[in-house]
Amino acid sequence: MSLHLENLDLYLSSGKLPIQVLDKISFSLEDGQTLGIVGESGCGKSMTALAIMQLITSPPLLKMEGKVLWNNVNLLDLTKREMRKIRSKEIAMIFQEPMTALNPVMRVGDQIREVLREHNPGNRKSENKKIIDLLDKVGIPSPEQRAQNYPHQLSGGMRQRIMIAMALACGPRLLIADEPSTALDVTIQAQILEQLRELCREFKMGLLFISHDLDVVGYLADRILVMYAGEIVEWASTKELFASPAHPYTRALQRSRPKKNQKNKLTPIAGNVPPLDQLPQGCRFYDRCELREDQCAMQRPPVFKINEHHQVRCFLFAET
Amino acid sequence: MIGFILRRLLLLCPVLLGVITLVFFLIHLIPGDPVELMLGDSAFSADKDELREQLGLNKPVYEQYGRYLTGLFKGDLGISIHSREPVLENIVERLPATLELMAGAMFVAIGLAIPLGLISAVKRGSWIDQLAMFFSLLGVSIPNFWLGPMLILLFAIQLDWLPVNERGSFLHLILPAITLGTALASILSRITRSSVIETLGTDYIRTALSKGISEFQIVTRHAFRNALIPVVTVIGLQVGVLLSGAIITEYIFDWPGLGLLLIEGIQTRDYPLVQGCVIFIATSYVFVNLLTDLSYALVDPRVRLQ
Ligand SMILES: Nc1ncnc2c1ncn2[C@@H]1O[C@H](COP(=O)(O)OP(=O)(O)OP(=O)(O)O)[C@@H](O)[C@H]1O
Ligand SMILES: [Mg+2]
Repeated sequence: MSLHLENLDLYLSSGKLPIQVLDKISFSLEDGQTLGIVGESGCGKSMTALAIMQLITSPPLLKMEGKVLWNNVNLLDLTKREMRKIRSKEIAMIFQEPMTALNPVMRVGDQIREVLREHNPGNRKSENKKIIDLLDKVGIPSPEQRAQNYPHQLSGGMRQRIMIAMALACGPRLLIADEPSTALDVTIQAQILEQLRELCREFKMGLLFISHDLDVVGYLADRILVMYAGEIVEWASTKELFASPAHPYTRALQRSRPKKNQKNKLTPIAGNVPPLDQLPQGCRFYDRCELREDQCAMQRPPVFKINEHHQVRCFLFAET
Repeated sequence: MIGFILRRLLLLCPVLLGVITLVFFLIHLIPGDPVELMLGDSAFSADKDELREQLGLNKPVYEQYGRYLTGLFKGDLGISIHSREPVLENIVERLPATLELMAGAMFVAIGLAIPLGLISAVKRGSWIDQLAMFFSLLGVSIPNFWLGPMLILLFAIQLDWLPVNERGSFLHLILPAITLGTALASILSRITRSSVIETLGTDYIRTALSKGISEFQIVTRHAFRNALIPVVTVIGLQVGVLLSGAIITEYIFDWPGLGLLLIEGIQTRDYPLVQGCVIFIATSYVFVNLLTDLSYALVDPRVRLQ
């Protein structure tokens, strides 16, 4: 399996005006790898994930351009019916909000059954067994009873595990996890992350992991994309990104996270992400950048290659 | 569940007592003497006094109230002044007609509204949606006392397709049921539409979409049941409106139900009959509300009956 995004542009309608939410997003994710996406709230992480799955409905979707190549097939060219065969069977997704992502009036077991029935139909008994196995696999105690529960009877962590079980049901080749642990408390968060990591290893499944927390992404991912205001500003292997962050935004992100042996010395990034309908002409990070130059206000920086595993969208790295 | 029902029934007692008291005293505030009406101006005053005594109308109001309450406990709603029969018998005799009319209207309303609302929501903005919403606007705007006669004029008199006046075969039910059900159908189709649209925008619908199941399954299996929750609430609340609409509809179509009985009672100043009818209607309304609350639990597993 492989996923390649090539110059993906996404336009949404917000009120009457179209806004460009994603700008020339390109990356690739090869078999069994974990790619992390980090960035502040509103920078387009979820939209990237939803665009791959083609889950953005119209409205607000206006248009998508570019390519989402899944095993060299452009998903944007598929019919609805063909796309349905990809969802969950080949690419599955877990969502940001475990509290609202499950249907409140359907037993969780039946919600998992629905995926099985769509892609791997069997008889009820074999489905039941599969459901129990899945629940067991994602660490849910007494799975027989839990399968009979409605979502409101389960905690947030349990619901997210149900979502994971549902995503794994048909053995997808790629799992997209959009902040799967953000809404949960810290201990549960750690358990879920560990679980995801093991499951990906066991199923040899690719993982696209999204979070606003650099440490969380660093823990799971082989490579990391840093997004800012709808574009990718840095792309590097995890090791390299932590050792030598290039983009001023990435550096600011690093400084703004809590570290061990350090009390109350977080440095938040001053200012806000510019609204997508009022983007500056030059670099999108210009207003908040500590290392800005005159050029940055005038001209949008292109992508520069630092080495084979490291690219950045910043004039500081122009090969002069 | 059983405990919940018992507790709710117990809570109904003060409500019902309030209703009975209110109705009783309101009726006695109405000017006019039923005895005069029954015997006419020319009757001897001795005869009038005798009848008053017979009906208990010569006693002070509080004593009449007390007697009425104790009677109620025995299922005695008093004797109709006009028919000289127990009021309860009159009501029970007329009840099936009203139930039939309301069931017909409910059938028309739900049968039209839910499919229309669902299609409108799924095909939002399409010509089907716009047409359906136009008719639903029309439906709430047309009063039933206008719609009823118009339907009679067109379908019974001009075209002579359907029978009217009095109850009988299924065909007799069609026009009254449409008359009574139209407004409710309009309200329900709007509620269904907006509820389905809201449901289709939720996170769990996106989850369902991410499973690769078809849009048809998403609408029928995921959106519909969730969207039904507010619709059930409105149906429950609208039963009262339907009941009052039934009174007018029965009058228009000469439909021999409770509403017509009530109107006859009012026209003849038949205190006990009017009183009995109003109390009966109010009581059924209260019970329908209880049933509505119970039905939530059927649609929504989050509702725990405690
Ligand atoms: N329904 C919508 N209509 C219009 N614009 C939207 C809609 N949903 C999101 N957007 C815009 O798309 C941009 C990207 O949103 P996205 O949800 O991808 O952010 P995110 O990076 O996932 O943030 P978070 O960390 O808060 O989840 C936002 O700036 C938002 O303004
Ligand atoms: Mg998001």
